[in-house]
Amino acid sequence: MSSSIPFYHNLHVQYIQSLASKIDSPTSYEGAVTEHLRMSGIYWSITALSLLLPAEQVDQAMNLTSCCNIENTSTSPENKTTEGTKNQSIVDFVHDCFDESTGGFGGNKLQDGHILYTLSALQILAIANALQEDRFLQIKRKVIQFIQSLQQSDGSFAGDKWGEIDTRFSYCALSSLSLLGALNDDSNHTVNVQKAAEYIASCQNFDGGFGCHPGAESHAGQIFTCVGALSIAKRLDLLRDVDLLCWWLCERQCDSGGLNGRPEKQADVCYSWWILSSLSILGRVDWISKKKLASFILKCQDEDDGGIADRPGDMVDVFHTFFGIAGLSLLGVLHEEEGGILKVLDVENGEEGGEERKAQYRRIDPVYALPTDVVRKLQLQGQIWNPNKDSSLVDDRLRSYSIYNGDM
Amino acid sequence: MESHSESSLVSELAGLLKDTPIPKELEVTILPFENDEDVNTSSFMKEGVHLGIHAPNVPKLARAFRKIYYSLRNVAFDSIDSKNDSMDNLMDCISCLLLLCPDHATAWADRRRCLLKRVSALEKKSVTACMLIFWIAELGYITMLFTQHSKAPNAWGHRRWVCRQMLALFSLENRNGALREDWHPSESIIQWATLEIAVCSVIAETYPKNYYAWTHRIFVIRTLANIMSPSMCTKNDDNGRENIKAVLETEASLTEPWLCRHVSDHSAAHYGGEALALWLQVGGGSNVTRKWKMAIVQGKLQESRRLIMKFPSHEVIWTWRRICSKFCFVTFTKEEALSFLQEEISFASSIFDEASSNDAKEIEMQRLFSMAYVVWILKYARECDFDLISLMDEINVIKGRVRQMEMPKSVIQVLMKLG
Repeated sequence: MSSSIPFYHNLHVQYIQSLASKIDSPTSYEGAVTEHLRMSGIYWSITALSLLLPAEQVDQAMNLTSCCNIENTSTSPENKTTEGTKNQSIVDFVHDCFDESTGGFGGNKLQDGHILYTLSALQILAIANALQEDRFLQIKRKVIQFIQSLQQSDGSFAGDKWGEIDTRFSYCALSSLSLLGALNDDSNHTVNVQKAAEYIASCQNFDGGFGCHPGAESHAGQIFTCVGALSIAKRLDLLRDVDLLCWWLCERQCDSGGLNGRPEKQADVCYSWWILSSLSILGRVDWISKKKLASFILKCQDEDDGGIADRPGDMVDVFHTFFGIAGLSLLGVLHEEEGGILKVLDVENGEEGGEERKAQYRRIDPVYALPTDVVRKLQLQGQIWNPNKDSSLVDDRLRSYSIYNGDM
Repeated sequence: MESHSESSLVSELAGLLKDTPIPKELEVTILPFENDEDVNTSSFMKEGVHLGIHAPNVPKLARAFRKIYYSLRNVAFDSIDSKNDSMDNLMDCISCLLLLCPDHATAWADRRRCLLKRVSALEKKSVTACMLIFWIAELGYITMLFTQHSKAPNAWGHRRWVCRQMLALFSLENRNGALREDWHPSESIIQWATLEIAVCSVIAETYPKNYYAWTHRIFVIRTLANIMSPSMCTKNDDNGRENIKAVLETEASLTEPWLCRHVSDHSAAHYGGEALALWLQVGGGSNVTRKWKMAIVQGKLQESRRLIMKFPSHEVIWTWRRICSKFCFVTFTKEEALSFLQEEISFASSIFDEASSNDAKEIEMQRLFSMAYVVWILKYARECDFDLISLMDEINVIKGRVRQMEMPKSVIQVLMKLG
């Protein structure tokens, strides 16, 4: 039985495409207060659109690798203003955010390097297939050294030189190094991956969950960063009691079908990602009600202007739009063949067009939060937990990862 | 002309931040201007300790503050002999920018650079009291910021950084000798901790379940517990130790009264577990006995029972019981723990059987949480290597109950694996 609410393909595409001009508008409230994290905002919009459109269309629509407005897209000093990405490609913008003094990327131009925005920058470059460009290869060593400099003696990672520790930063560091192909680079003495994994494991609480550091309250977002990091490090064996952890995650499903981040909090679309990705890695997505969750996400769409909000009726934003689409992808409903529970509404081409769109949708990878074709192309490493011991039950998108079934 | 206007915005707001009374509350909202002229000429309003910023003007203000900020930071940090003026102007601009963009990591970083420059000048003059006042003033700015922006991770990170500067100062006092003969660093640390706990408490009251406030509070009590160690406290500081213990005991005892007023506050329940763990660790002193610990844990179980009788359909109240039960498994002998398990199964089953309410939903929740609790402690006991053979009859009854209800698949999966 299909959901009565369709997936508004055209509206979401239009919403994402219109973001750049809206956000950089002088009257935009959202743009004004989120300027410092523009890099992450661009990552969310590019990746969301990449799930809905082929790579070439994304490139053209978002000026990803070239800007059709001007001929010269080089990163000259004159371009280093803080006025968004006008008149330059996204890749140019990313390079303009490189902080030479630290070796990391800032959230926008003229900002200090930070691990959060370094990951977002690398994710954008990965989608744009720009990690092998000469200008990136020239700074690659510095980026690796920046990440390396953030690891502490106990294996944890700071966000920048000022030393605030958070398990989010562990995930960002390991994911970044993996994107750079520098995770297991013994000759260059990069980070101590084993110590990083052991530190993350030390953050697991008695309830099975993880917080921002040892002893901190379990939080679904932090759980994803820890499980994701352990997957990249191929140390899922360090998890204590996976059933307990997955049960904690599943207890986040509310009556509405949505997921919350902690007990007795309101459901929020972004947890569709944080929780589903963790359950995907740990092989227990079927422990939650997928239909109810899909229905909740669809109710969070803006049926007039596109985009997805945190919960039904609220204002949309790019963050929740990305995680809502990613959640539908992870649930599989965005990729089901004809007759599935999700109907795609393509106002230009009718029902048949909707099914064609669906067939072209790209899948998202739960470990790296990137399209699976990008992950495969870069041959990124990861590990999944397969409780079934039958590898044929493993989701297609995870088959390239090593499998751990708890026997070690 | 535009640049002059932008600078005047910074000057105006920075002035309001520095003029007495120093603002203690911030609100970004539609300000109640009395006439149209004021709406067009002003973006700010201050009444006593309340500072308001006109929300519709935020885009314009943010752009202006950013423009000035990026131009000033180049001057302030690129110059070898940084003039105080440029540093002061930068600090003023950052103070304004952060009121609108409290999670601006680079602005916080620059703020720390400015603070370190200022405090180093005080260090040279060896005026410790002035340095303390300096850092307390910075905490005041952050506290004011939290009244509007309590969920900015970088603001909380900055607060922790300031706290560490102060704690280092107290250690310095310890190393370089006391201000007075009977002064001990623990006194200053307790004053610091009390202030921080009060700030966290106010934020948690206003913004329930605030992850950052409760996490910061854990940082504070852990710092207190750490200085109980002999290497930290001076030899003859028994008074200090007793005062620290008093703070930790108070923190460990606040869970029940707090949950009575905030039944859904999971952060508070988690904090209660951390505070209890620290109290059990340091509260008994060097002669701590198992009997003392058991009395504490039993007391917590009784509190938890009272809460469940009052609020049986609240998930967090059952989560608190899970936390309390964890301490039982650590403190009790195997026989005591098995007896405890039987009592818990009986208790939860009574809640299940006696579930009654005018609200069918509440009855459903009560039954769900009571059975989920039983499955949870049985699983936890199994993971602690407790043999559940003697409880198989009870487990089968629970399985029967679970089959009657629409329990989540996750609960069923875990229950089936219990045998």
